[in-house]
Amino acid sequence: MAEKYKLVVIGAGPGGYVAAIRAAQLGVKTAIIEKEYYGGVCLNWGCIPSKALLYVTELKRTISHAAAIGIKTDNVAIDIEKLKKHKEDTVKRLTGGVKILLDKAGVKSYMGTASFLSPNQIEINSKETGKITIEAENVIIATGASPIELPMIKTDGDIVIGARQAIDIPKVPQTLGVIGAGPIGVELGTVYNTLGSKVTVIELLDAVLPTLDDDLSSAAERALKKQGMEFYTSSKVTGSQRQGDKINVDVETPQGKRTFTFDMVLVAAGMKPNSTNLGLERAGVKTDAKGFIAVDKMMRSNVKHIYAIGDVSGGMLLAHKASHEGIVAAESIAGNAIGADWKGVPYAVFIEPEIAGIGITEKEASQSGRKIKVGKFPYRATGKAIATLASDGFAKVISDAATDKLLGIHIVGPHSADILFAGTALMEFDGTSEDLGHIMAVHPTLSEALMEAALNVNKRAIHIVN
Amino acid sequence: MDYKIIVPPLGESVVEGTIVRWIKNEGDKVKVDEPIVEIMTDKINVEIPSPHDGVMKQHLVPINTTVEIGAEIAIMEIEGQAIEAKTFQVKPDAGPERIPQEQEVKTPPEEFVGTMAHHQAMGIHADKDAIDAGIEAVKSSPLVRRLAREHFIDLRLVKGTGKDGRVTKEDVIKYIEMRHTIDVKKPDKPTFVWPESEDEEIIKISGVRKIISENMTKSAFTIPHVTTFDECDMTQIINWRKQYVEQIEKIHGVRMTFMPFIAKAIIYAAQNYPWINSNFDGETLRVKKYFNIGMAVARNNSLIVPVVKHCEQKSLLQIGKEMKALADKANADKLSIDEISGGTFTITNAGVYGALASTPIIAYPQVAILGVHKIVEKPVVRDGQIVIRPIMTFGLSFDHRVIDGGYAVQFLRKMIEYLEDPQGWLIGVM
Repeated sequence: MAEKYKLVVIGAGPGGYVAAIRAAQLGVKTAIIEKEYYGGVCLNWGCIPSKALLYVTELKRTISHAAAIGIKTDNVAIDIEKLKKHKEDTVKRLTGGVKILLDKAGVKSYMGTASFLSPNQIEINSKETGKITIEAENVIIATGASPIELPMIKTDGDIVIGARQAIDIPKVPQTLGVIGAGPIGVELGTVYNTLGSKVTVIELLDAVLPTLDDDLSSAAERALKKQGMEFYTSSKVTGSQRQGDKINVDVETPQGKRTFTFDMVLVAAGMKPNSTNLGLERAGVKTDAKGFIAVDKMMRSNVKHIYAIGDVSGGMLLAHKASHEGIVAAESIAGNAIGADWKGVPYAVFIEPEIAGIGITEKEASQSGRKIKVGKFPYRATGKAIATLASDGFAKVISDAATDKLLGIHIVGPHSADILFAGTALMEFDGTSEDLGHIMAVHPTLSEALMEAALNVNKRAIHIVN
Repeated sequence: MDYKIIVPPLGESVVEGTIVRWIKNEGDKVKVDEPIVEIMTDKINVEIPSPHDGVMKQHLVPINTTVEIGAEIAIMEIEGQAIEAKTFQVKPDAGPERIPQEQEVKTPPEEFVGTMAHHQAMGIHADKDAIDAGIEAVKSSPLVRRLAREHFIDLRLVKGTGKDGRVTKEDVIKYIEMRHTIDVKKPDKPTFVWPESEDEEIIKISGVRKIISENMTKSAFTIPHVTTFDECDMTQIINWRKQYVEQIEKIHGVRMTFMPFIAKAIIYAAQNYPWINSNFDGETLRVKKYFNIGMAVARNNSLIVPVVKHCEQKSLLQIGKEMKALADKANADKLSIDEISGGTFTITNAGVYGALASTPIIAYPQVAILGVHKIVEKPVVRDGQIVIRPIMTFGLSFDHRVIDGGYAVQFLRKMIEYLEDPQGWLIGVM
């Protein structure tokens, strides 16, 4: 007879495993199905390993500054194998931790691919155990998203690769082409650039990190160019031809047609939801035109006992959002009242300089016709930034023109993602820019830049001319 | 740890109740949501669910005592380990993998994920849209938003005392305590008192009669009532019913009255006049997309209005069956709070007592009520000839603040047209 569970979670990424642990904490008999690796993209090929690699970039910057403040650094070189080992150790430690947490919470783990046989029956298929069927009173779909394949330049696992392969650093090519100047493209581009590749980034839209405001995009572009990366925006890849160990990529740039020759190409042109091959039609779960599963505030799909969280349910494709949505779904299933009621989802791009933010951009405000006030403050006007050679950056605060309610915060500069947290907290409390300006930041810290940017909204910043 | 059990809010307009029976005796183990005590109110009897797991330690009041909402009635010992068991902690030396013993987990109901049974039983909450809109509109905090969902609160109704009108945790708690008493404000002292006389019988108005009195006063003095009358030729409906009523009763065990037909006609007519089926609180008109039709039932010198939910989704027969079941329950005092709340439109039948016309009072915050009367044979003119036809006079009272006269009159006419010529919509009902 099929094993029965109160909850079956499909996918053990940062959404699924968090949901499973929370549900188990609440006394729900829970199983989780993972087809490959615990921790999903985030822990295995995304957030975590890329940060392990990007740390080298941060160190390199620090070391390059070191000479300026009197530390002699000769013969600085990178040992790629040791770097890879650091990355792998980090991943191993964290993914192993996930499995232990699941076990200790009492979650039953199944390895294999899952598909619905009916709204309450799930078949798990694995090479080891064959096909088994389990029954689920509730289901959380947390299957994530995968990179989009481009027809004009198909990944071949050799010299045209996706992020998942790139993170393993199969080699350090002399020239690397990156298709897409989104967070994944620029972060991995930065890693290879630091390791010595000549990196050229091609972006279809008109800016580096095109969803951000122009001031942030151009700050990123300027800094990355200074580090040696090249950018072609408003440029479209039209075709590619393999030529021996190299690949020729045809690109329509605003200046005309060009052909680039690369030793390796990283395709990072966006993500699509993993909603096919799940047998959703047998469960009656509907998806939108792009394949995302539409959900309500409780993360329920159109089928009320089937929930979808994280990338597969759309919105911003971020691990922390998936985790929070997982908690909402788990609480709902346990009968507790909680909804996805947050006022914003924070994001970050871990390049040099680091970029982080939450809420609306100036661009979005002008598109929607919303009247806003904006305050900005440069890092270089804080003592800590100057003393620690961190003066490249600024904080920006956007508030409602009428009520001063915080609508958006965007920071570019060292430790911006850490500094942001205070602003995120205040936004969750529906705070105003005035509130943020009243809150004391320790002196001297980089957080002072955020506080002063808030003051600048109402032309009250102290350390700049407003 | 000791936990005091208080009398929870028992529904709109209920201020007190009488303890009928202790379901959990002193020393009994109690699980969360298990009934612990039965309380009789003016309207119905309610079993109070336990808010926690624990042991019933002491009853503070004996049975047959009248207690107010909020009164302490018992002390429970809460099991400390039950709370701790929910906290899972990873210890490096933790034992082998284990599956937690499955606890009683509440199934999320259709409309409100997270409804705790004992909140649902109280029947006091904002609907999902109002909760969402309140969370969106009002300055609050993550904790307050969680409380809003848990307690079904529209945050727009809560007075925020925090900075810039922010709703704080304290505000929400105060609101939860306050909202149950909002409807039961004692009326001001009358300014004029008739001189006392010996030649009269003094009856103290209390209990159900008092509640009815308060509700009627509230409705009559809040809503500017207007009643419109119109006549309906019941020939076809009567003939149809005559033809099938015995057969239906034989097969389905329910004797069809005219009420289900009238309910259906209301729903059909309201398609063109949707505002008839709505709630109005003086500021917001909530036009309902579903029809929960209340039907006033007289019951030993009192009045109760059980509600047939979602009539728009139900067949004539189903409505007939449910009306019968609810009326039987009303007569046996067995109605639950759920069965008497949530109405969107009400029908009252004064015809059973022989009334030819009446001007019913609207069940606040609904905006209309239909008075059903006696069918009498009357001479009417058809094709230039005087003929005798069974005629019913309908009286529709409506809230003139939101419903205009023309709107109400046309609605009533439309409804009557459906009743006078029912063949179209009756096909396929059997």
